[in-house]
Formats: sequence, C-alpha cells, structure tokens
Amino acid sequence: MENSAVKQKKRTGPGRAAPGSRWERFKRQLPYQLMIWPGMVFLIIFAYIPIAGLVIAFQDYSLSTSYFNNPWVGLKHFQSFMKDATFWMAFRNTIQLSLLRMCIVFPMPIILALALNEIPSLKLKKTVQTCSYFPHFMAYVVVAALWQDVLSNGGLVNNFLMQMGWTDTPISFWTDPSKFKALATFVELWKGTGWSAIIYFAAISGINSELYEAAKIDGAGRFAQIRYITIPEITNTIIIMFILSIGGLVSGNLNISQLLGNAFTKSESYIIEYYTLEMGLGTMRYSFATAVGMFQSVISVALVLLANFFSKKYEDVGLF
Amino acid sequence: MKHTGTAIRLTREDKAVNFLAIFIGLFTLLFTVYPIYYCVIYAFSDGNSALAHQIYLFPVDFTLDNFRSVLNDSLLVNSFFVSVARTVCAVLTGVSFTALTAYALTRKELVGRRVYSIIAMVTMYFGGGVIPTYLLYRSLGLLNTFAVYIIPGLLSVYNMLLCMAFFREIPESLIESAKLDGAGEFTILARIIIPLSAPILATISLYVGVGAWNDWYTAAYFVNDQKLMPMSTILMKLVSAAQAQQKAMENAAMSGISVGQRGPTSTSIRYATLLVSIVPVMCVYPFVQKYFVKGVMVGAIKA
Repeated sequence: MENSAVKQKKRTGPGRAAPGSRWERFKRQLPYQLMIWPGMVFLIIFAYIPIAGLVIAFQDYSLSTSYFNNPWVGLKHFQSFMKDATFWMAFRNTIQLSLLRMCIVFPMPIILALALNEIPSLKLKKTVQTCSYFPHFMAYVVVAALWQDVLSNGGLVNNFLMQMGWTDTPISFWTDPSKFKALATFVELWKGTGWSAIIYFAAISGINSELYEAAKIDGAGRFAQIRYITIPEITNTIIIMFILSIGGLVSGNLNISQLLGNAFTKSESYIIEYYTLEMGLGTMRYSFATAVGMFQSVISVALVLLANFFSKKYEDVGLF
Repeated sequence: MKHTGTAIRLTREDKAVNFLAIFIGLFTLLFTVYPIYYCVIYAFSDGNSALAHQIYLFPVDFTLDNFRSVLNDSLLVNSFFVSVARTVCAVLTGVSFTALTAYALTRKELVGRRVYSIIAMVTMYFGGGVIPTYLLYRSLGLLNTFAVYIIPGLLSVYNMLLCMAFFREIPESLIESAKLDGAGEFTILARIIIPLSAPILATISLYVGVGAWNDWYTAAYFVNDQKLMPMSTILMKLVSAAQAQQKAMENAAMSGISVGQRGPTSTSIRYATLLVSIVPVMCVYPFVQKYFVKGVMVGAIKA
C-alpha cells in the first residue's frame, strides 16, 4: 500500500502544484486527450469536410478547382432539379417505398417479438430467433440474387405454381413494374424482420414480471396481458424506433433499387439516391448531384426534429 | 390425463395463444430457412438436371461441378481473398480505433468531453452525402486503393456509442485501484477494460466484419481495378449481368432443350457462388451469436 502511494506521488511529479489543482487535473487527463484526438481528427476529415463540401451545391464546381474559387450560382442547381421530371419520379418512388416500409416493414418485428414471447417452448423460441437474425447478416447482393432466382420465370415459385396448376404461364415477377414495390417490401421484410425484433425482445425482457403476476391474480388472460401490459410497456421503444424511421421517409434503400430494380421496372424502382449517383458520378454533374443530396438530407433532419418535437410534447419520449 | 396433473391447467385462451405463437414461430423459421436451404440444394445439384426436374427438398444428380466452376474463375477466387483481407483489416483497425475513442469519451476527467461528444453526435444526423465524400476520397488519393476499404471505416459513431454504454458499466473502483498500483491509462485500457469488454467488442467486430464482407458499394463506385474487387461487388455485377440474360435463359428453360444434358448452368453456378459468399458468415455466426444479442440489448436499454 505504502509503496503504491509513493509511486503515485512520484508520478504526479514535484509538488509545484497541489494535487487537485487545475494544472494537475489537466495533466492527469492528457493521456485521454491522446486517445481522443485521432478519433476527432478522423471525424473532422471524414465527416466534417464532406459537410463543408456541401457548399458546392451553390457553386459551379469542376474537378480542376478547389471549393474556394468556383463561381457562386445561388440556387441554380436546386431550381434545375426541381424542373426535372426524372427527379420527381425518383422522389415519388422514394416516398412510396418509405411509406410501405413504415406501414408494413415497421410493425412486423413488433408482431414477431410479441408472438415469439408467447411461445411456451424456450428451445423453439431460441431457434426461431437465431434463424430469423441470419438474413440480416447476408449481403444485400446475395439476398437480391437469391430472390431473383427464386422468383424468376423458371425459378422455384413459378415451378411450384405451374406444377400445382395454379397458373399456366410463369408470372414475371421482376420485369413487371406494377409488382416491384410489393416485392421490394417483401425482400426487406425477409431480410430485416428478425433482426429488428431484437430491440423489442430486449424491451419485453426488461418488463417487470411482477406486473404479469399481479395481472394473473386479477384474472387477466394471455391476450389481456399482452394488450394491457406488454404493449404499453414497450410503447416507448416503439415510439423511439418510429421517430428514427421517420427520418428515413425521404431516403430510399439503394440496395433494393439498384440490385432488384432493372430497366423494365425503372419507373417504379428509381429512387433519389440512384438519381444522385447517376447525376454525380455518372454524368459528373457534381454540384447538381450535391444539391439533390443536400435537399434530401435537409428534409430528413427536419422530419426527425419534427417527429421528436411532437412525441416529446404528447408522449414525453424523445431522442434528445 | 394423468400427465397433465402436475402441470398448470391451460385454459382455452392459453391454448389459442400458444397455438398462434407456435404457428408464427414455425412459419418464420420455414420462411427464413427454406430459401437459403434451396440455394444449398441447387448449388449441389447438376445445373441442367435441376432445370429439367423441379427440386424442392433434395439435390438432384449430386455434384461439386458448380463449385469447381467457381474455383476456376480466377477473378472470383481473387475477390474472395480481397474480401477476406479487407474484412480482417477492417475489424482489427476499426474495432481498436473505436474502442480507444469510446474509452476516452467515457472518462469524466477528460477536459472538453462535452465538446468532443457533440462533435461526434452531430455526425450521426448530418452528413455530406455521396458526392462530397467522393471528392474527398479523390483528393486524399483513396480512390482505387485498398485503403478506401479500411480508412473511412475506422470510426463508427454508432458502434462507439455501444462501446461507451458498455464501458460505463465497468466499476470505477477497478480503474482507481489499478491507478494506485501505478498503471498508466493505456495499460488500464489494454489490461482491464478490453478483457472485460469482450461481449461488446465481439458485437462490434461482427458488425464491422459483416459490413465489410457485404459491402459492394465502395468498390462499385470508388474502385476500378479488377484485382481489388471484393466478392460482393463481383456478385453484384453477376446479378446485373444475369438480369440482362434473364429472358434468354428463361426461354431456354421453358422450351426444355436441356433435358437429358448434364453440366452446370449459369443459375447453378450463381447459387454456388452465393453459397461460397455466405459460408464464412455462417461459420462465424454461431460463435458470436450469444455476444451480439447481449451487445444489442446493452444498446437497446441505453437508447
């Protein structure tokens, strides 16, 4: 003990400053500064410089110049994409796909978690959970390729349907624009439902079991317990997840659009992200594409803030 | 009816709920597993036979030819190793960098902690988007290099928050007593914090690893060199190429030209390729499974 006390005194150096003084405290935390700086430098380079790079949305940027000496053009690029019919097609598809995601993909994990929670066999419950997480770890490329093959004209589903005599000609799933959004939503469900349910499993497992005991004594059946205990207890989690998803209303899933969409379904699968990439990296209209991206992210941030404001006001749950 | 004597009596409602829950559970299981299983049996089937006969449960004319075709494709084999290399590098560098930053941010002594936290949090909500990012990589000379797979992924603020939530649970007294014994901050991090944080480190390793393994986007937009293409990007190109040929292939399949013939088809080879790309994830998955559930729970409770 004594030895370590001496060591500590030595480490803090000659008593020019009393222990606990400001200088002393500053010096003691210097190693932590050394730990944090690389991370901060990283964020400044890889997160803040691109944010600063948004200024090119208001300029006519070309690769030969820097951010500082381009002609300023105000809102020219914003006006020009607003006049572009392709942009509005992408905008409409993005919103429609997001609404489908919110209405169908969002509630599924909640239903799954509620259902699995009621499974009497622990073994079955664990098996289902473990397997249902797995598609989350599969690459979107693989998932897309798998479902393209399974639902292709000579694929599993069409073979089955034709063998059963339920259809005479194969159904063209991926080349029919009117089916694209439903199928895209379906693939998102397949990939994400199990994984997204984890957070609700966590919320459910955090519920105080005394609540259920008390309800049982009061004669509440299983449905009543779900309705009056489980669901109200996980409502906060649901609201937080919902706020997070609202921010995604104007952002699409590039994976879905680029991997599952094709020339046949472009009218339904083309989204803003794809448009930005094509305009920017494809046709090198950097300023124009940056303006599109900026428009999109400003709306997302505004939506998150708005959703957060309302949920705080009415439910007292918020992110910030 | 003796065997129900000791068990709790199930009401009709209990039975209904159990039935419904088990039904949903089994449906989810089948729905998740069967497409992957189908991919497996197809990959082990002779391509033309699989086209001619419908397969549902077992491979037809069991063969390894599809995998042989995959192995003969030098671009695919090379991409497999690129994927392995980038995944290993991304996990090693990304996790240690993230853990280091997270640890410093959880220390109350750190002067300017609030400012640092705000700097990090802002990046969760605002970003420059793809074009400014591309221009940044371009001016840093990251385009068309292996480093573009590693350096931009060094720090993930989301993973850092998960780490921080875990680090905060570690009793302060452990750190205090180590300090009294003369351990420096870096020693404490390496000898105490890291070993105690295995669950969360395993979780973020899995996130980073799977993210790196599955990422096709970086290579598709920031890399041209064929030798640097990871497997997911090659697969992505295969998928797009397949779409272009789809019509022709379907016609061939429908008219039944291939009945009686043997040999791999582009579909069977593609299933084999898909399988090869899933297998590494499948191998790691059971080992990290128990950790990531824990890790996500930590994140969920904190959120």
